Amino acid sequence: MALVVPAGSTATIKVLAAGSAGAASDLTNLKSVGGSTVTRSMADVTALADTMLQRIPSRNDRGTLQLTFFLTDTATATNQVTDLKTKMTSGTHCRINVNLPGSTIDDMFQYDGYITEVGEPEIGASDDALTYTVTWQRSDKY
Amino acid sequence: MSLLAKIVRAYLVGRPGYAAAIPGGISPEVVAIGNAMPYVYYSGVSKSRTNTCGNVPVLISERISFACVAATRAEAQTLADWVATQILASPSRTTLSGVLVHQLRIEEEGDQAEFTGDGSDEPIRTTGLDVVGVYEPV
Repeated sequence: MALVVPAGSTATIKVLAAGSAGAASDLTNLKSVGGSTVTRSMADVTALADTMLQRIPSRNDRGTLQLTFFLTDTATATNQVTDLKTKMTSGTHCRINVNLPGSTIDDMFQYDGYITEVGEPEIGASDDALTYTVTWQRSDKY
Repeated sequence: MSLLAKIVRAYLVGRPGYAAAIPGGISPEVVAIGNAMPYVYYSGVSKSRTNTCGNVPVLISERISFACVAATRAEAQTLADWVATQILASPSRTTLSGVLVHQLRIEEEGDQAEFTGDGSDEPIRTTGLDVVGVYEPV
């Protein structure tokens, strides 16, 4: 059964301390989630005697996650973009949960990792709401 | 019914010089026959919502049209200029009628001339102003 994004979908962030998750706080004004792509790289195991290149599966890469938010009008100190920048510069290990109401697949969309990029809004004369995009590198290591 | 049009109407009515500039008042969509001139009527043109990924609106953008009506072209233009000046004077990110309006701006202006429909042959001149505004849902 296919799904559409249900009304009320949200995302939360938890700080991971030595792999253990702390309290969840909402990520507000989430516009979109750029899902990660999980890939498996292949190792070249071709022997000198082989006439064809030979590869076998080696390591998995869980890729990156991108979340785009509408910029909120809160004080710099309490702004979500400031909080996420701080988590990036301090190398905070975080867990993102994307919650889809009414679904039973929420656990599929849990992402542990580190923020690697905090984009800032493009500003021009238009009706478009200001947005910024944050990129997470998925990783379990701390 | 356009919420933004009601907000802008209330804003214009509260501006200094309103009574002298628009003796016929500002009405929604239609004006009674015999209404004092010059006058303004407004209507909503379009409305779009900006949603979060959870389909919750965070901003609403509306295009509304103000028709500035007078007996002569010069009067209609003067009226339109007064309305435009007031709209441009509105500060951005301000609360109007309890709604946080992020911006108001004028995109298009156009002229029309037509005969009134009450049997008389007095022409009226109209200058239309298209106003675009963005506000937060209440």
